[in-house]
Amino acid sequence: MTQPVAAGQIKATLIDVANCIGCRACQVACKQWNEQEGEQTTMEAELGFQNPATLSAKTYTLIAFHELENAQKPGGVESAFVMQRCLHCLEPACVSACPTTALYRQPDGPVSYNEDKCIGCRYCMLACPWDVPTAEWDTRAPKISKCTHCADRADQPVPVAFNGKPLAGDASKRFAESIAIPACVKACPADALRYGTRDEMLRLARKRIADRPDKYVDHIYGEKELGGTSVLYLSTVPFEKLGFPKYGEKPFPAFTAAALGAVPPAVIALGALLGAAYAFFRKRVQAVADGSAASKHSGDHGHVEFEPLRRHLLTPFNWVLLLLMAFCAVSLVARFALGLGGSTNLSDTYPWGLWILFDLVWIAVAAGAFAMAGVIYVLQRKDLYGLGRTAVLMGLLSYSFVMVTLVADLGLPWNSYQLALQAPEHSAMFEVSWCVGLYVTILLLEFLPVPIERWGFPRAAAAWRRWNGAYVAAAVTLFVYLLSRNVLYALATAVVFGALAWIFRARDGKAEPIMLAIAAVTLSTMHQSSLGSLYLLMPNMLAPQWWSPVMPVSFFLSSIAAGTALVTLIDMWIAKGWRRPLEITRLASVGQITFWALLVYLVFRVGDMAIRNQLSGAFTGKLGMAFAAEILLGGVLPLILLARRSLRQRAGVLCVASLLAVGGVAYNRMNVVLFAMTFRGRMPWEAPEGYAPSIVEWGVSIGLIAATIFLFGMAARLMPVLSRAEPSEGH
Amino acid sequence: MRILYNRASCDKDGKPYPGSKPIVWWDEKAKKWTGYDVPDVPVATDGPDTPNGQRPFHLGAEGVGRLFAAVYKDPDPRFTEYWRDVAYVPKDGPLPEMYEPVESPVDNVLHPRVKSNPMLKYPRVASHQPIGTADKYPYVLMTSTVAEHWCAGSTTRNIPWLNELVPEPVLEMPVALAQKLEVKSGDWVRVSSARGEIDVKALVTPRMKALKIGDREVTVVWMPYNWGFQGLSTGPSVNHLTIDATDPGAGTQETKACLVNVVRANRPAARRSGPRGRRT
Repeated sequence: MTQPVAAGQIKATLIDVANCIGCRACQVACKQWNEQEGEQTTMEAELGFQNPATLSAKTYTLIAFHELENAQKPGGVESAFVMQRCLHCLEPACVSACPTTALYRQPDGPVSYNEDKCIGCRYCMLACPWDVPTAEWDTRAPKISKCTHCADRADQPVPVAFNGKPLAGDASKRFAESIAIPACVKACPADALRYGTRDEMLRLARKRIADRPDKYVDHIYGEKELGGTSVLYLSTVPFEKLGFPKYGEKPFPAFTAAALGAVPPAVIALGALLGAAYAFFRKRVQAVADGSAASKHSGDHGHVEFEPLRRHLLTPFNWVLLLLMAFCAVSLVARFALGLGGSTNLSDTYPWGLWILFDLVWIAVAAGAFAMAGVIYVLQRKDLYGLGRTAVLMGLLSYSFVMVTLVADLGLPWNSYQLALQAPEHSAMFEVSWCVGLYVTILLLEFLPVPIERWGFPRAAAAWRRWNGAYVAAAVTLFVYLLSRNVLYALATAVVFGALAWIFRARDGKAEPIMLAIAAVTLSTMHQSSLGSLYLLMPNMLAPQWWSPVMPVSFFLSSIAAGTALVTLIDMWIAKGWRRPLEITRLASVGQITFWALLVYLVFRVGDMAIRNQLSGAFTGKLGMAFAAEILLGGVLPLILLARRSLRQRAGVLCVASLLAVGGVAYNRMNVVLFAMTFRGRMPWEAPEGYAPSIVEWGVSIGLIAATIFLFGMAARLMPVLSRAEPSEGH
Repeated sequence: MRILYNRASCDKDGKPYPGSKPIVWWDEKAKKWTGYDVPDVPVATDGPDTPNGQRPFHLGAEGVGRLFAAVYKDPDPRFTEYWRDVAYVPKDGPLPEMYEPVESPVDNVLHPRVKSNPMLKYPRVASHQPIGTADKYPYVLMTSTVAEHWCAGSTTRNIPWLNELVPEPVLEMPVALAQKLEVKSGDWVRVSSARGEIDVKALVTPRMKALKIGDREVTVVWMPYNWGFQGLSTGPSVNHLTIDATDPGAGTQETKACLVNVVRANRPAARRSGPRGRRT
């Protein structure tokens, strides 16, 4: 997207804090040029004459007032006035976050925003290392707003007359050049702002430091920070004292670029691996079956029958669920009638709240669908076949309602089609959107045999059998192409998945949906991990116990543990609630999978922290307690409970262990989304707001959980989802 | 930056006084006045050997400083009926003198028996012009403008962009006074003088320190004078507090200094304004 001009020729602004007199002409000039209304402010406690307290949708820039103790200054007080605004990074995190390239870096430096492409996900607000982008919370279509570096001033037509008199000679050009600088720079009366190429500004800054080494701090903020910015600061006061965060030189987008760059080859490799594994296990199962052909227990799933549940739907419990669903419907109406700002308690400080937490937890625990599909089909664990439909239906409902939540959560959901049109470089949000979207179609296809079995659509069934492999190949190829924009990768994907689809094509009526299982595992691996990649841009916000450059892998591994544990819990709940026999052997096998997933996850996560020397202080403080609870109660304890077959076979132990595993992973997501994050509010970080979800947010989230449970119950009554409760035949 | 009359920083030869920070000087080679500042001289190329080079206070007719103000008329050679410059004897005498304001917490150390200007007639109407005393009104109130508003604010307080910057008047007070009154920035305080009282928010700042005058510690507080009852941003006018004693020479009111008392106001502490850019 960006083809930058030579780095030194990028347009830059130099802010000399020492020269600023705090007149705030820049603040007014900014509002004037950008035609923004004045805010209703008050004299903020502790902020002196600074107003407004932070950047907002109506304020692109402001002067932060600092009164610092300094014995050398008259009265022991030193004043510093610091212009706060977008720094226009050379490698902007907001641009790398944006799934639709609504935020983009212009070749000559300014980071600009195109509202027509924005879907309103507000990921940029979290991604920005300096907390600059803000959202218009007081409208029904909250766009993002931030300093434009007055890129539009350079686009103005060249003036040909001045006060009615034609401009002669190069006067017109000089006039145009004098306009083409940012409004704030033009307004500054004190030489605190200078505008030019980045090289010129760096030279000027170095000269000022060299001329007055006694006066200036020997540091140009923005020269190297996170790969450099095109707004540079000089100061007489150390930057830490002015609230500037201390950053290294590595730009944060490098973390996501590394993680997402691995996705296309990983898809191809994983597809090939799963195909090979399936071929291997199928051969082994068939060999066993051939060896004991006389036995009825051939490993074939033919003997597991599914049947609809015969119970009344309108139980008191379901009435409660219906009530919650009605409340959810009202909440959704309120969400769109009142707008995002009017119906939720989200703010510039908390651009993401309960709904995102809810999505991340729900997708993690809904991982049972792909885990069971992989185990049953790829690894040929036919003893678990009876749980397959439960897991898939649960996954389908969960993912569908996550999509509903996302539509509610997006500020501009009607722009979502831009996801299909735009090609962001490496946006985790883009990856997750496409991957989850495609996976929902896979889940739908996985579940399709159930209504077909119930109501019998022979032609649909035939089409399904014939085309699901081809669809998988097409969908995965599309996914890889969209992510890599590389024809070779797409071709390789098409070849691998096409070959698999051909090799495993349906030869008779009893063919297994192996391609769907492979796609489910492949896509889930990608988006479960990419949900972790979302947070790779926030090492400045997320506590070190949770942030790690390999957190995508932790997210993926933990989702398997949580997903399988939830399958166990659901099956136990079904047995209890609908008074069916509990197939504890089957569930103990699932518990074993949970055990191994949890073990790998814990070893990986703690090992990663040990390698990066993050363990020493990990257990201190309030967050250390949370980390300890997450690791010990949600990890080590269920691991101990699930370690021995004899323990796993006891329903109570299995239930507690699964609850702990699900709770541990859910708690992990809560920590990542809310509790272990430092929300400092918008720049200059003076007035962070609090957050407690509004009634509408609770209504949507709880109502959708209720809808999932209710629809699961309804589907189980209408369709053959549950395996027939038979006395065990020697499993 | 410009310092008025900066020629006065040089000696008669146009050289900066030894030991002082050079500001401007006469450049003998270039035959002109030069320096870090713009030289404030009648003609930049008229050197110290010309009459213009010896007129550091060039706006006055004599071009030099005055020790006292006498009747003086400088005729303009072009017009007989106009004077190029006139000086008259001020009502309170030809020599500058230090007087305390009418309301002052301290005595005049120069002449304790004549504390304030004897030529000043105040109160003119005793029943309507009370004078506060330091025992009831212990703090000195200073007033001035803020950069964002102009005079009483009739134009600037109707511009939302400027109201956003300084939305309401405040009482700026030193940290020591705030601690004594148990007031934080943003709390409401009641400021009263012998003439009236108003409620404003406090703004506690380390920039203001108590003055040490003689053996007394004098606490100074400050308010802007840009508010009134009309406009987009309204607030109590500080002129409810200030005194209308006038300087006998120029007739200027003594609005820069009067005595006030400050107490906590029984109003809820000022709440932070609502989340930025959204409903309130």
